[in-house]
Amino acid sequence: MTKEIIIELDNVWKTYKMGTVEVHALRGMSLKVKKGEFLAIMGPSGSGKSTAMNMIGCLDIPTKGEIKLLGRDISTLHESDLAQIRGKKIGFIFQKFNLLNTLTAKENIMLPMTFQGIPREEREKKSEELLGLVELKDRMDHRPNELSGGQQQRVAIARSLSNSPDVILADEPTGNLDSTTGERVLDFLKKLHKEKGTTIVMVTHDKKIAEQAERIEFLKDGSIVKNL
Amino acid sequence: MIKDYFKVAIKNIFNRKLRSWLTMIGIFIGIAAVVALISLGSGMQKAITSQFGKIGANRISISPGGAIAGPLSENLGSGILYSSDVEAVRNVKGVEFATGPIAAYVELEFNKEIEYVALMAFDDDTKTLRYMEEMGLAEVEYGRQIKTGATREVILGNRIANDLFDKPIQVGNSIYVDNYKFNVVGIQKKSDSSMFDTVIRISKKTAEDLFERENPSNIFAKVDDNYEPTEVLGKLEKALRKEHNVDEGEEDFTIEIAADVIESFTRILTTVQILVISIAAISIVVGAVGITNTMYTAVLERTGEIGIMKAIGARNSDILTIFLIESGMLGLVGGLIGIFIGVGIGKAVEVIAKAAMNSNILQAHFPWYLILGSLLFSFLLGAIAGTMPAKQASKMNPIDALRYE
Repeated sequence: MTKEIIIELDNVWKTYKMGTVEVHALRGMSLKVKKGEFLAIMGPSGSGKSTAMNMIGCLDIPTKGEIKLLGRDISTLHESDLAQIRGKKIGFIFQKFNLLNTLTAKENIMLPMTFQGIPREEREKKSEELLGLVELKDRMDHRPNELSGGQQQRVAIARSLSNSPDVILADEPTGNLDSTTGERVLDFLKKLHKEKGTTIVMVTHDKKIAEQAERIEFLKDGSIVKNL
Repeated sequence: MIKDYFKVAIKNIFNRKLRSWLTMIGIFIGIAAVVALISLGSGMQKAITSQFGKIGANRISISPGGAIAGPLSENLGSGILYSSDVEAVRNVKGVEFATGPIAAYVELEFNKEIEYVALMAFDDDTKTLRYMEEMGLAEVEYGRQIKTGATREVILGNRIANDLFDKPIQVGNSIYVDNYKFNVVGIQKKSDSSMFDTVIRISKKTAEDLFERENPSNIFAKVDDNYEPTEVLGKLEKALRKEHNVDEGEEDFTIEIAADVIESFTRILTTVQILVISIAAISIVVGAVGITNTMYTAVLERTGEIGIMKAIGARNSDILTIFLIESGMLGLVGGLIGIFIGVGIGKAVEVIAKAAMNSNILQAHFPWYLILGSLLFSFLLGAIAGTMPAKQASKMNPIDALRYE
């Protein structure tokens, strides 16, 4: 049985204007991600990885082409609709963790649920569950600056799971971590994929990291290539 | 959800304590000034209304001199009331009662000390006495009232008895009024207005006999409850014009109803209040601009945070609400502190005024609408001041915001 396609990029172009010069960050990128897949998009810096990530993550819309998320074309949606999709369907893990420093670990995990209007009790329960999953229950009342890099990234993983998204997007998730901590974070992602069947799209420039995924797609000069 | 946004806002405010405090100073100085001024103004209004309330709306006061006497008017201070005027007033239909006290400035000697004080001489009949008691001008604290027909009896104002001479004067003491010996039979209760605490009171008959005065300083009248005071006022004017032989518009006397006096006092007070509050409003405007400035800085500083929130599902309206609540809270907390300071200032002025003037006229009054209104106003002011920065925050592109260092 063929698996359902969860993300589909069809001839996606993204062009930025820098003064009078047009810069093509993506040049006709096409990609299909199936449900339950762990995909790595690998490419050198400047290859358009981050732009691709922003497109898949509904943070930006393409200049040309079509992006379908769960069969719905998102390339023409308004910012408020995109925000809703981001909140419900996508979980982000960033290279720099991007936790809110004023909130505790638990509150950081609760925040995406707050934006979805989930009642407080449910939010608390879910966030504690997720903290248990990333083995940080004893750190739930700590603020990000009281946690190590690895711990912060695990909180970010827990946060990305808070609204039970259809896909997790990880942008260089180990980029700011040492190799041992990085491995541990990757192990968490693999565990999530294996045990819960979560769809994960990971962007990296590191071959070793990319090899941890089920499938690797190579990105060069804004389009998918066979190899680098 | 809104509750959670309030929590986030409070956390953010506490995170930059110093800046928040500095921002709030402008608001709380303004609100403190407004609260203090309105409370004192409204206290004063209340005091005036209650003073005149004692007199009653159906009480009429006639004084010499034209009412519309401008600085160049020949009527200014030129009027005299005659004892025959009192009779004329009494004869007007609808006047229940009228009395014309004599006022004078006299020499008072006690224990070989001499002071100069005001003297008031009323009729000593029970009706007049009751009328004056109703007005709060003749309540005796120690001793008794002047007996009907008694000639050398005097009642002293509270301050004259207690403060004027080295030794306090007591009931039973003898004093000399313009060299005539009088027996002190009573001491008046301290009144709300210090004016009546520095007056001595004898019977009108005695004043006429000893000091050869007969023209009343004022005429006080009471309108029968069955008649309309303004109607009676018109008749009174007509009667006195005839008595004084003057035409309409050239009156050398002024007739006032208590209600009119309250109104004109209130009008003056309101004008002064509006003026002073306008000045205080400048501080509030400056405070609001301070909030706008702080919120712009906050938006800039937290650009990355805005990007994160947008990435994890915050809509533009969520970001707008968070920042509006935050600026509203700055206003609200500023307002709350301002109210406390304002209440403190109001109370302090009240205590100082009481000590300095020995009067209760300047009492701070804090109606609920002043407190609640100030709170609501300061929250709204904060929110309005933060509208532009909050809009800027909400419209940020999530990618640009995330990239911002």
